[in-house]
Amino acid sequence: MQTPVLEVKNLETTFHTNAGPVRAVNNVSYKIERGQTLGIVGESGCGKSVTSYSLMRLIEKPGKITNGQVLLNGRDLLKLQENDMEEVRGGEMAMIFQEPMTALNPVLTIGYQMDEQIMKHKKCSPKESKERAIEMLRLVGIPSPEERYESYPHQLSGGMRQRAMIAMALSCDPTFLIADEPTTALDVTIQAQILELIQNLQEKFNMTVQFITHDLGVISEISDKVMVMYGGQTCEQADTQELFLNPRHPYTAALISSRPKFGERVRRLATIEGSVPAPYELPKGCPFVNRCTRAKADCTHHKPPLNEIKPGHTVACFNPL
Amino acid sequence: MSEIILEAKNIKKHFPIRKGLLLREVASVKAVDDVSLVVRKGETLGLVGESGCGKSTLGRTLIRLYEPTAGEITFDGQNFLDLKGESLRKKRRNMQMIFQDPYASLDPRMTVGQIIRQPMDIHNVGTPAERNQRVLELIELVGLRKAHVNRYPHEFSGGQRQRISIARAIALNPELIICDEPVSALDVSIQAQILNLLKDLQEKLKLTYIFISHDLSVIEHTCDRIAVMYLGKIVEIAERDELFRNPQHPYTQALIGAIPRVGQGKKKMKKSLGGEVPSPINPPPGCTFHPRCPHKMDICASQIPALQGAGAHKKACWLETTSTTTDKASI
Repeated sequence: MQTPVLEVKNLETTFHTNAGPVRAVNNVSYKIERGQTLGIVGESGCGKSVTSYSLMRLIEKPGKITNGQVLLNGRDLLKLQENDMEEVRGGEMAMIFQEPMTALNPVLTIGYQMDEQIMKHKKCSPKESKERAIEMLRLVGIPSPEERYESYPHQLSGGMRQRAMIAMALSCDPTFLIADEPTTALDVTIQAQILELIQNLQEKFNMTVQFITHDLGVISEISDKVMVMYGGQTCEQADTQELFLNPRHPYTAALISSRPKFGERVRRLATIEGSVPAPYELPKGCPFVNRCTRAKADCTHHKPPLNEIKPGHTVACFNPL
Repeated sequence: MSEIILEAKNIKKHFPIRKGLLLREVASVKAVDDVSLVVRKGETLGLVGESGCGKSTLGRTLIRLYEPTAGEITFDGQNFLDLKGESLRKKRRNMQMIFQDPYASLDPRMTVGQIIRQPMDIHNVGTPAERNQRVLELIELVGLRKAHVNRYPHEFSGGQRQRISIARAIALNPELIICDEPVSALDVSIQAQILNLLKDLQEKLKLTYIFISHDLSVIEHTCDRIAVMYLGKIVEIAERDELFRNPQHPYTQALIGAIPRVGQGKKKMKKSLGGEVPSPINPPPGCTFHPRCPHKMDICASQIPALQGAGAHKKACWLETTSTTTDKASI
C-alpha cells in the first residue's frame, strides 16, 4: 500500500483563554489516501475547522498547536520554518473557505489576487500568470473569464465567487485540498453545481480532499470516508456507507436520526437532549457523556480510546451500539 | 376541509429604487409579484425557495409588517388591509412571528421575563400579577425553567433563545404564527428539538403556521401543504405527499433533485440545474424560470403561465403534464 497523502498523528491545538487552556483539538489522528475524500462532520465548536486551520498552520494567538504531527507526502509540516510553510500553503496544499466574500480581498481584483499566488508559487512572468489565471477561471465554469479577471469580488454572485475561490485554490496544482464548508452559504441548486465542480476537478487532477461540513447529506454524497467530531475529539471513523448505515457511536447515531430524512415520515424527530457544551466546560471523561443515553459510570471518569471494532471502522466509546 | 383563516389575492410587494437628486423612482424590486394563496385553520403551509425568491417578504406582507403594493388580504373573514389604528392592533394579536436569528430578534437589555411579558403589556392583557403568572407558564411550556425568568438573552444558547422567541410569539394565544426560517441558524441536534416543540405547541394550542424555509427536508417534515416560490411568484403548490411524489414544475423537480441525501453513499453528482436566479429588478419576460429551464419552449419566453391545475395541485408552467408516469414508477 502506498503512503497516504496526509497523515495526522495525535494533533492537539490549545487556546489559552481567561477561562484557562481550551483544547479545541484533542488528540486527533487520521490519514487520507491519494485521490480520496475524507469528510469531517460535526456541530459548531466541535473542532472541525480548527483541525483544518492547524494543518495549514493558520492558528493565531492565543491558539497554539501543542502536540502532534502533520505529515503531508511524508513531510512534517509542523517542523517547517515559516517561509517553507509559505511555499506549501497555496502550493502543495490549498484551502477553500466558507464565506468567499470574507476570504477574498474586496479592494483587489480577482485577477490580482490570483496572480499574486501564481507568481509566488510558479515563479513565472505576469503574462504567463494572467494566462494561467484566465485558464483556471474558464475551467471552473465562469463565463467570460477575461472580463471576470478584471472584476472585483462584489461584482460576482455568491456561486461565482465560490467558483473563483476554487479557481484560485487549484491554480498551483495542489495535491491536497481542504474545503471548509464550501457550500454552506449557498442555495441548494448552486450547492449542487459547486459539489459537482469539486468532484470533477478532483478526478481530473487526482487530488486528495478533506471536506468539512455540518450537513450530513452533503458529507454522505461527497466522501469516501467520514470522521465524526465532538468536543474537539474524534468519535467515530469509517467508510461513508458503513458509518451512515451502521453507526456505532451514540452521538453519530443520534445525529443521523435527528435530521429529518427526505422521503421518510416520522411524527417526531429523535432529539439529543441538552446542548453542545462550551469548550472550556467539557466533561472530564467522554465529551458526550452528559447527553448520552448509554452513559455508564466509567464514561464520566475516563476518556474512551479510539478502538477499531471492525476493519476500517473505529469508535471512541465504552458502550458502543 | 377546514375553515379558511387567511386569504391573499394577487399580492404584490415592490420596493422602489430611487436615484438622483429628486429621488425619482427609477425601477423597483418585484420581491413578491402577484401571489394568491389561502391558509386553512390548523394547517402548516410551507413556503420554500432559494434566497431572494420572496418567501420572507411574502410572510411579512401577509401580516402587514410590509404594506403590500397591491392585492387583497382577508383574515378571519375580515378585510385586513382596511384596518387602521386600534382595530389593526387588536387584529395583530392573532398573528405573531418567529424570526430566523434568535441573536438579533431578542433585545439584549431585557430579561427573559420582560421579553415574554411585553406583548401582554402592549395589548393590556390581565393584571400585572396575572401576566407574571402567565410568563412562568409559558416558560415551562417551551421547555425552559422558571429560574430563567430574570436572566438575559446572552446567557442562553441558540436553541434556548429560539424557545424564548417562541414563548413570546404564543403569549397572546395567536391563531396564526409565521415561522421565518426558525431553525436555520441552529445546530442539527438542536433543530430537531425546536421542530418537535413547534409541532407539540401546534397540537396543544391549535395553531396555524406559515413555515418559511429554504431547507426542503425540514419543509417535508413539518408542512401539510407546500408552495414553491421562484423570483417573487408561486410556481407550484400542492399537498406535501403529492408535491414530493409528483412534482410538476421543472424548478420543483430540480430543487428536489438537488437535495443531498443521507446514507446513499458517495455518488457522482448528476447534472445539476445551470445558471443562477436572475435579478428581481428586471426579471426575464414570460415565465421567469425559462432561462434555466431544461424543457423551455417558445411560448415560455413571451407569456407568463398562470398558477392553475385541477384540485389542490397547481403549477405555473406551460409544460403539459407528461413527465409523471416515469416518476411514479420509480417510487
